[in-house]
Amino acid sequence: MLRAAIDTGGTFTDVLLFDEEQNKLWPLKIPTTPDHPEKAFLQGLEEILKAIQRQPFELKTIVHGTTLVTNALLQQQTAKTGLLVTAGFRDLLEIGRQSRPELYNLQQEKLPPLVPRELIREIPERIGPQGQIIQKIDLSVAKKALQDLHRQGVEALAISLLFSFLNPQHEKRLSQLAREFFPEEFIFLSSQVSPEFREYERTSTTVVAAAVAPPLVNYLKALLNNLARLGSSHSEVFLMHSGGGMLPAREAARHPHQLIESGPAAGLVAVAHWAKVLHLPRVIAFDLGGTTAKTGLILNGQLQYTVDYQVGGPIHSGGQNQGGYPVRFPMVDVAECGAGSGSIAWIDPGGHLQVGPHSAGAYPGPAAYGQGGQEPTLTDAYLLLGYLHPADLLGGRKSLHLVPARQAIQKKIARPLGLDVREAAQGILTIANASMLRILRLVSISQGYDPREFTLLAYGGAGPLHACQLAEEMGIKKIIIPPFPGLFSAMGLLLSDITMDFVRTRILSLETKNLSTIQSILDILLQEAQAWIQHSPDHQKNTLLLPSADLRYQGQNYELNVPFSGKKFTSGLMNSLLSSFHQLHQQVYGHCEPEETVELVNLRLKAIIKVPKPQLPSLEKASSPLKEQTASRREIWLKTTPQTGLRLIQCPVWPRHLLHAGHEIKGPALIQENNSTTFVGPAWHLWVDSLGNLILER
Amino acid sequence: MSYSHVDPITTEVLRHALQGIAEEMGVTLIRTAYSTNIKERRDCSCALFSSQGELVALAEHIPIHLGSMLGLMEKICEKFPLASLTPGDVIITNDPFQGGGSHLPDVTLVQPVFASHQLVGFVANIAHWADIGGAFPGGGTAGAATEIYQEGFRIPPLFLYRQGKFQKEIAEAILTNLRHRREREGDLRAQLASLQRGAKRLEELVLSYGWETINQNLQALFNYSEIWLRQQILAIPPGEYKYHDYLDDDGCSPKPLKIQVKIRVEHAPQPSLFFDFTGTACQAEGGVNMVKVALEASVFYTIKALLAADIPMNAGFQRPLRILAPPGTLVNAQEPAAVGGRTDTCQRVVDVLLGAFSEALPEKVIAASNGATTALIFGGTQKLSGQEFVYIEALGGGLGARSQRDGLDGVQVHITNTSNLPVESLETEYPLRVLRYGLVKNSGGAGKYRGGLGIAKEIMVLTPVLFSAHADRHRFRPWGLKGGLPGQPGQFLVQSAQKKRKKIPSKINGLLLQPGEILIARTAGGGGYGSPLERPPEKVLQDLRAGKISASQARQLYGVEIKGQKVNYTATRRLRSLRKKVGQEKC
Repeated sequence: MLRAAIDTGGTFTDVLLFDEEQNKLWPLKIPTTPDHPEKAFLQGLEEILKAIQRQPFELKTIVHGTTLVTNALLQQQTAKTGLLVTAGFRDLLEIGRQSRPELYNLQQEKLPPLVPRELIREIPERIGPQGQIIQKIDLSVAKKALQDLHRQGVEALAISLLFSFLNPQHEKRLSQLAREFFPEEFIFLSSQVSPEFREYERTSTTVVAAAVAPPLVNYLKALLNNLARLGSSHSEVFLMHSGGGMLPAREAARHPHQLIESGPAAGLVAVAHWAKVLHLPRVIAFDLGGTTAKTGLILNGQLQYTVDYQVGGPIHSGGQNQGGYPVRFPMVDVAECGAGSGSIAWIDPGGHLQVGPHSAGAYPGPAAYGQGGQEPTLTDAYLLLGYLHPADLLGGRKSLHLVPARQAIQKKIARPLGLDVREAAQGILTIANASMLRILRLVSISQGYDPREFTLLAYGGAGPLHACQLAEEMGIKKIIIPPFPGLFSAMGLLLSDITMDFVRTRILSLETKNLSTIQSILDILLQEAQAWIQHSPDHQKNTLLLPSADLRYQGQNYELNVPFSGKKFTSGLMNSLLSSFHQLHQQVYGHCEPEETVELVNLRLKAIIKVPKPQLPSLEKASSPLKEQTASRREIWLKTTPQTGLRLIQCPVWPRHLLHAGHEIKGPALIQENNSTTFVGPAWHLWVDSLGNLILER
Repeated sequence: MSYSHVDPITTEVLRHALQGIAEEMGVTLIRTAYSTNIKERRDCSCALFSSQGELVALAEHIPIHLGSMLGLMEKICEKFPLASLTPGDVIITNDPFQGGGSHLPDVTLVQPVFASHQLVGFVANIAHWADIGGAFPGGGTAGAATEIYQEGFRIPPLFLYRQGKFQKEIAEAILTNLRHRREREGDLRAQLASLQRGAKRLEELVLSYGWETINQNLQALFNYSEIWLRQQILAIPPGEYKYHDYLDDDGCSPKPLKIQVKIRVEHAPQPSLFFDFTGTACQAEGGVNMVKVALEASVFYTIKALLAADIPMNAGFQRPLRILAPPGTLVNAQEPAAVGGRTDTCQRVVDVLLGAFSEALPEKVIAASNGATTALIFGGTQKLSGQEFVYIEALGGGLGARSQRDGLDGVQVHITNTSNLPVESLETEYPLRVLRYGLVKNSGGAGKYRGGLGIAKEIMVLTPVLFSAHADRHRFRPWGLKGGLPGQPGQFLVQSAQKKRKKIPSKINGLLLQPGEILIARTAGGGGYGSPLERPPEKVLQDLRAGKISASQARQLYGVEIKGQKVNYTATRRLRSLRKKVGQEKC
């Protein structure tokens, strides 16, 4: 049987097909069809099946990563959405946290709320901070509001009342009423979507879910219809979510906000799998795509999560996203910066070189594409310095042109800075590296980890080009470049389990007197998780429940997530949780206060239904050492140390398909394959392991 | 690796690294702090300085800290000769007159950083503590004190650590004078952790690049900001520009206080700006005074926001700017002036500066904004635990309309950018209940581009509470530009359990609120830009449908006739031409 992974990105749709019997993988990369992403999805599937002469009915499962939800939010193509709130709080979304995204820009705009003010209705009711009902809900007002929203053509409805995370009674009453007017699949309650405290973030999350549900459902319908037409109506379709797991398509439609940024999450799932297989305790993942660079940590084979995320805001260099719509959900923690291989280099008014965050995109693309792009990009710099060859990129589907690349760098960068054109190209690389280093430091050093203890796993089209330079700056001594680095995120789709997250907020001190209360919350979560597992078609399979607690010192307002194990919340468990918390606080912030009272804020439970993973295909063992003459040679311009200028060196270029397990190469060298190029720095030594990974060490 | 190298690319790479350090310090501080002001409202900033005390990198969350960061090192260097500093020293201060601060609750910590026994720079942070002692809870933020002594405990620059040794007596003297000692200790620990983080990173950076390279590139970095700013100044026509506006009062007497500026724009010999505040009112009795660093912060903020938001803030940024403010005036107050409510005055200084530039830069300047900080302070005792509490919050308001777009509704403007505390957090921690938190209808100044709406917050107290506050623009409304109308003023009301409403002053100290009483705070809307008669009727309709303006405002100020959710274009045309005629006759 076959499994397919289809990762729709902004520029490319990546397809990986895996044959379970033959233990073999086939990759394909085709341009995304932005207006109808299902087209490239199907085209890719058909093309790859045809190429290996297999039939659609042989597809057992299809796992899909989609940018549909993110794009709907970015391009404001969301459904007409209504919102019910507690009386007095109509402007919750518009005021948000009251701060403006940019400190100094008098002309700045905020993103418009996803629900316009006229579609937000106040419902007289009030629940207090202990979950007590202070004011009963006025259902006659609610009914009128619902009628009116229905009349105005609202498609999806969000309901978010104060303190509903403690007492969802009023939200549930409203939901019952609302079903008269709206389809149940398009009604979202904050107490179900995100039962956590902080009303703005909870409301925002609920509204995001509601606003993207209709377009997502339409897309999934189109996709499933087309698959049926293709002849694979029996395949199970899963959607990748940003929590590093997948959900059956139908269930994903009930949790649309979880589908944001699923691509980067999939990449990290693959990295986590690699870390386990290769027994690497500490890994920094580095993914360099066309528009952004992304990085995240894998510790002891485990994904790291964050609940602080905003979608739709501009990308900042510092790896933080502000000014977007907050979405609370344990997402795989990924830091991002606007320096990708298509990012534009420019000179600021102070005379400094900058790279990104603007990108040349797929069209016109970098100047080197020869499609009329005038702006110099990182890709143009690679070409000028010799890292890329005019015949490279996308397996020859698109060729590169040296002349426009040189012209763009000469005119826009070299001349204004008074530099030689190659010095300017090297400058573009150096500045881009500085941005990338900032996010690499953010996920490692800023979290209290020493990067020298880490292995760098680099992927994405251009990640393997930058890996050596970045590793040297970070003091990292080992790099891994996996097979098909340009499609590595799609690999994560084949390696995901089915997962779902459950959460409850209850703020109380972590003390013996509260043990039974905590136990009762844990029991609720365990019941919810069990019910979910029972509902799942795969419930007979291997399941796993991972509880954790969001803790803080009493008086603080940010929590650290601390995992624990066991279903009985005993004093022994509490004590070990406490000491893990103190330890983590020390690790992350450099101090801990064992004398202080620790407060529980949220209990979380991640439920996992394990899915059998493909065995990674192994690579044929080398029968003889590599012969020097098999490599072609290319001139590249290299800056070996920061204090010396560029040096022209003759660099051997090896096609990756010639490399077999056990082969060794000394840097400098370039390893070339269809969708990526690896640069092995002069100080580095490369060998190929039995799974086909390139292992670089120094 | 030690070498010396200056080029724009190395400088830029270093700038990234230095900025990254300041930001990392900020993350550590916010996440570990205890005061609500710091942890949720992000009322704090972190900075790096050169070994000479020049500002190198700044991660500020609110612009008012700019001035303190710039004024701080001057005072530190005055008091402690650089040669006397040793590894392991940490200096603490909060004093506006001796320590470069701008009001007492902003507690500043500074640590000299050494690499290979050489002083290579300083790391510093400022955090707004929820209490600093003084007459009322939340002390220095209340507006009606008349001397700084009443506003809280003053800390001149003192060693908190000397050669790595904790100065217990100093800490004890400070903490004894503050409410909620445990929380204050937590804030102090968070600030120390942030310094430690920054110092370690700076040392690592110096060791990896070499001291010479860092030092030379710092000079290049200052030049870079300076050149950039001078270039932007060239876009302003040279000449003199004047403006003035009034602060409502100082909380002691009803007399308005004038703020006046004359700006001279020069292109030769070098592009530069000269700000002269002569003519501004004398320093006030009430706590609305600004010390010089607060004035500098206001000027730097305005210039950066107006001319080039992206210029890195460092010592080079100051070079093209000169500021004259006669000592003893509202904007350069002398000891022992009370300064607790200085942010309201800072907001007004920004409006005045924008007003002055409005002729020269009509595209970039915006109408007057909310123009106040509207700080509300609730102090009392928790019913169950008997513990004292202080809750402080600052309300945003309307941003002035821009030349091409409406002002933002309900947002923190200009000199501050603190976040609110979630209602669910507030009600869990304090005996308060929020009944309403929303935008004020009709409060934005009408114009072709509408001023942003002000905010209304209604808070019921559940136990007896002492309420203090300082706000402004309850009287002098935020003005519009180019025919735009002013925004609605702000207002404080107290509603009794019998639902009777009573107006209270904008600056008030220690008013007793009984359980069931409701404090209603409304902030001002921003001024409009351009004549309201030129606003597209569709946008007027949209505002009406969104409930941001009323039907009568649509008709009376915008001249738009709306019937049954639709614009009546014929009637609108008639109405507007009539209004225009009346307007001309008036002129």
